[in-house]
Parts: sequence; structure tokens; C-alpha cells
Amino acid sequence: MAKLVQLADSNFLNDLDQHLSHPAWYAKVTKLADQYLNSSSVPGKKDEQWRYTNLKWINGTRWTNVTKVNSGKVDQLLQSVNIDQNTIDLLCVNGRFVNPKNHQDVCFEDLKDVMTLPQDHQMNFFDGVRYRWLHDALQLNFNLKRHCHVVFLATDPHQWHNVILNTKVSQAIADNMLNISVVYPQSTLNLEVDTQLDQTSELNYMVWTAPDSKLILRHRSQLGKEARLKVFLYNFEASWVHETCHVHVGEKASVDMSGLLLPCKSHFDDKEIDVVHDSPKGISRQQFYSVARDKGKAVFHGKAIVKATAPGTDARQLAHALMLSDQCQIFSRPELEIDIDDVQCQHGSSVGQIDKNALFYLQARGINLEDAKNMIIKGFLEEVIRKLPPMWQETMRNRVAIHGFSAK
Amino acid sequence: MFKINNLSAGIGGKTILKEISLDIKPGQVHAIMGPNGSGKSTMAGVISGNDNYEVTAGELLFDGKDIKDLDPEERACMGVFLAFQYPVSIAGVNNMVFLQASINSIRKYKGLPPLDAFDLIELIKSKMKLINMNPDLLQRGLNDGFSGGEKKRNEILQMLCLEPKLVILDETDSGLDIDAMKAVADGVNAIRDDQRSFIVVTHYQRLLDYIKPDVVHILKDGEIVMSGDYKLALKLEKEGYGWLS
Ligand SMILES: Nc1ncnc2c1ncn2[C@@H]1O[C@H](COP(=O)(O)OP(=O)(O)OP(=O)(O)O)[C@@H](O)[C@H]1O
Ligand SMILES: [Mg+2]
Repeated sequence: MAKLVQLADSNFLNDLDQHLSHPAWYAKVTKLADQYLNSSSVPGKKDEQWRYTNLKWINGTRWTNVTKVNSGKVDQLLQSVNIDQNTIDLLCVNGRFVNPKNHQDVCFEDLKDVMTLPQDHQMNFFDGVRYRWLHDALQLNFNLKRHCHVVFLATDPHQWHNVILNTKVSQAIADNMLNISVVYPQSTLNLEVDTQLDQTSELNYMVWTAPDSKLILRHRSQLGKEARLKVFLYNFEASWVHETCHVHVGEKASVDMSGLLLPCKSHFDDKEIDVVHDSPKGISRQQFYSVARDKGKAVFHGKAIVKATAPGTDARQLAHALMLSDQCQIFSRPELEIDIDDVQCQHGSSVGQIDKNALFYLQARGINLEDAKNMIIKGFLEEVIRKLPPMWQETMRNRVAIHGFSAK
Repeated sequence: MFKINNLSAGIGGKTILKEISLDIKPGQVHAIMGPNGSGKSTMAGVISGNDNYEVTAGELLFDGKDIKDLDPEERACMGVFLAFQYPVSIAGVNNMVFLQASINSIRKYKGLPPLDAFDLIELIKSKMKLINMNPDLLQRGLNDGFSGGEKKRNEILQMLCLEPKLVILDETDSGLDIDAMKAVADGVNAIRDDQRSFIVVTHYQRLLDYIKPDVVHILKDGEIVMSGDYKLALKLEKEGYGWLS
């Protein structure tokens, strides 16, 4: 435990212990997590994946734990981020899944048989923390429902919650949507979302993080034969985000991942993506666009791994970034790791300022400098937004406008 | 209408334009011809306010007012229009949305109410017809993936919609097939009147067959070395620039 205490001298993890009650079968997971945590250490600058990540705030925070839910606060928070209560199918308040209508605890199915621990080499420190001090977990089956909006919400600041959401999409159901909103003002959600797509099934999966939230997200996805997954990761003014996605692409399956990183103020947004092809003829796309302002920092580390057992793979990556201030930072690293000849792989990456020629062109048509900049930025973001399912596009455009990128 | 007095300009300390003077009366068409690299696009950029170039001396009098220190958007609002030699593509900006923003900024400057979507579409479609432009191009990204000819037509469409007072065409005829060149000329001739003036930069006398210039200037090494009438263009077409030196 020494290492944990070092990370959290405010004792937030010890505090967690007192409020957690796990079923008996979970003891084996706790044990595994303990083992992992004891053999690993708090990530630091030496770890490739955490090189650009500032973790100081964890120590600097006085963590609190709010177990009682104040419904008034829930309503207020949802309203403040324009989420209509009626659109919510599942709510997780202060680390507990509840019925969105009456805030009663949702009795979740026994996860004993479905919960899979990540392989040791895929585990990171925060996975260990999540498993060791898990608040709640839930299994969602998409054979019943086609659209599901899950809202994770913290009613009070300085909380830390560890939650797992397991989803399973059954065969031949098309057009499923899993929409996740994270509303964690000044609190931290350490979330894992596992999506398992059976043969020929489809899932659209979107994660949106509300202003001021902190999110550590581990996404694991397993795609069966000919399954199709689309992932959209959108962070606007979330203050600190670290997302790790691991996608396993089955035979003739396809995954399309896209996202916007828009750090401003002194916000931080890090995406780490591993797409693994080990069966023939899989398709993968990664398209991540960043716009950094103020002292914002965006990190994109995308990897496509094509094993020798995956002939006919088609893997592409695009990472483009705009820097709008002198003090913002962007680190972008699209990578391909290919063990076989018979594949199509491409990657493209750019980091720069707004193109002066484009600005002049718009100005020469009577559009003022500020509006011209916003038009170009909006256009840049549009490249990603237009990939969203139509029903989400307008919402996202509105959020972009609220975020300050709108031409009059 | 538009007067250039002893204009000198350059880039990164290097002088490109040397003491150029031009006097363009209302309704006149002035053609500028000259070898590659002689400074034609530089002149167009300087007039429209591209701050890549530094103006080191001289005046740009637009209706008597020196516009050389104004922002490009203000010049555009006053009625300066440059049809770019190389129009920029901006993939995510919808062509229609761009046109709308441009038309309405200029209307706002003139104190006119913005056009609503219906009036806009009607206006734009009618102008497109005039130059035989494919309406599908309106819903694409601005010049995104447009062919060379489509980009040039898009420039002319903007000119028709914005109805500027001073139009600078920078090699709008280059790379166009004969029908497209005719369409561009039709567009220009459609808005020619006794008030609107044109500066037509071109390498070929053919465009000038369609758009008859009042004056032809030859720009060489950043200087206007000769001015004349339409016959000067014919001579250049036959003999090139060699005889000038
Ligand atoms: N950014 C720049 N840096 C350095 N030199 C430049 C720059 N832009 C233009 N020039 C130089 O200025 C001179 C004039 O260029 P300009 O584009 O005005 O020529 P032009 O007459 O339009 O030629 P063309 O007929 O080929 O279009 C050229 O020698 C060119 O290389
Ligand atoms: Mg030129």
C-alpha cells in the first residue's frame, strides 16, 4: 500500500474502502488488483504512456465521499449541461447506478460470469485502482434496447469514483447506440467501458465529457466476425482526460474511431489508442482532430497493430491539430506496427496554425478576422462531426458553438 | 475611381513592385500583361490587402480615399474584389455557408438587412445559371476537390453575388477550356456598366477578345514599361515580350 499512499496522501483510497461492499466472488478480483498494484508504481514521466500527463492534482485534492444523493442537485446539474432527463436510460450518480426516474439503486446482474480482467500487460495503474476499489458495475445487453443514454454524474466536487460498464451487442442487431455523458464538475470518474460485439452486430458509441470534469477512461472492445463499431470521443472543456482504448478487430470486422480534443485554459486531454488486427480483412480508421488554446495540452497516441495472421487488413490513421496560442501544446503520434505485407495502411498527421492564405481568402470576401478564424476552426472540426450519426450531429455543433467556435 | 500613385511594395525586404501608377476611371477595363514573376499577382494582393506584402511607398486611392492601411475585409466591404489566381480550398467550410457569410457581411457594412436562406438560394442559383455552373458545387466544401475550371467559376460566382465596384481578375482565364472562358467572360460582361471598373491580369489575348479592355499595360520586373490600347495585346500574342528589352 505504500505506493498508493504516496499517490494519495489525502487518503482517498483508504476512505473508499469504508464505503465499498463487494460480493464474495469479487474477492478474487480484489486480490488480483492488489497484486498488480503492489508490483507496479504510480505512473510518472518515465512511462512512455504518461510522459505528458500531469498527475499532481491527485495529490493536491482533498477527496470527499458523498453517499447520499440529493435529487435537486442532480436535476440542476443535468440542466446546466442541457441534458434532457427524459433522454436518460441509465444514471450513475456518485458512483452508483440508479434508475433515472426514481434514483433507486439498480440491482445489477451478477457480473461473475461476464467480467473479464484485462491481461496484465494491458493493465495500467488506474485500472488497478478501479478493480481494487470498484464502486459499481453493470452489464448492458443490447438485445433488448437499441438506444441507450448513460449519464455519469457527481453531485459534489472532489469525489473519485471507480465504475465499470459492460456492454454486449448480440448478433445481427444493427444501429445500436450507446451514448455516454460524463458530468463530473471538479470530480473524477475512473471508468471502464467494455463493449463486446457479436458476429455481424453494430454499435455506435459516443462519449462526451462535460466542462470541468476529470475522466480516466479505459475502453476495451472485442469485435466478432463482420461486426461494426463506431467510436466518437468528444471532450470540450473537460479539465483532465486520459482515455485508453484497446480494440480487437475480428475477421472482416470494422472499427471507425474519431474524436475531438479541444483543450483550453490549462486543460489536458490525452488519447491513447491501440487497434489490434489479428484476423484477416479487418478495417480500422482513426481520425482525431485537436484544437488547443490558452495553455491547453492535447496528446494523441494512436497505434494500429497488424499481426501476421491478418492479411487483407486496411488500417488508416489521421491526426490533425491546430494550435491557437503560443502556450498550448500538442503531441501527436500516429503509429503503425505491421507484421505482414498484404495490407493497406496509411497515416497522416499535421500540427500547425490556421492557414494564413485561407484566412486572407475569407477576409478578402468581407468576413472579419475573428469570424474567419472561427469559420476555419469550425470547418476543421466539421471533418469529424460529420462522421457522427445524424441524430448527434446537431447537438455536437451546438456544443462547439457554446465552446466559442462559432462565426456570427 | 481607382488610382495607384507611385506604389512600391515587396516581400521580406525584397522589392517587387517599383513606383507603379495607374488611373482607372469608372467603367474602364485595364488589362495587365507581363512575363511570369513580373509582379502581377503581387499587385493584385497589395490592392486587396494581403499583409504578406509590405507597401513601402505610394497610395491606393479608392474613390479618393487611401485604402492601403485598411484590413482586407474592409476593402472588400467597400467594393474591392480579387478573383484569386489560386483560390484556397477549405474542406470543412461549406461553399453555400461561406457565400452566405460573405454576402451578409458586405450587406451589413452597407447597412442592408441580411438575406434569408430562401432569397440567398434564389440569388445564388440565378448567378450560377449565368455562368453555367454545376449547382452541386454549392453543397461541397469551399473549393474542396474542385477542378481548376470549377474553382475559377466559383470565383466568378462570388463576384456576381457581391457586385463589387473594382474587380481584379488574376489569370481567371488560365486553365479554362474555351466554353469555360466564354462563361467567365459572360459573367464579367453581365456586370459591366459605366461605374464598375476591372483590372484583368492575363497572359492571353483571347480573353480580351471577349472582355474588351480600354487600356493594356505591360508589367515587367515590377514596373509598368508600356501602356497602350487593345492592339498592344495583339502584338504581345504574336511577338512575345522579347522586343521590349
Ligand atoms: N513569399 C514570397 N517570397 C519571396 N518571393 C516572392 C514571394 N511571393 C512572390 N515572390 C516573388 O515576387 C515576384 C513576383 O511574383 P508574382 O506572383 O507577383 O508574379 P506574377 O507576375 O503574378 O507571375 P505569374 O504570371 O507567374 O503568375 C516573383 O519573382 C516571385 O518569386
Ligand atoms: Mg500571378
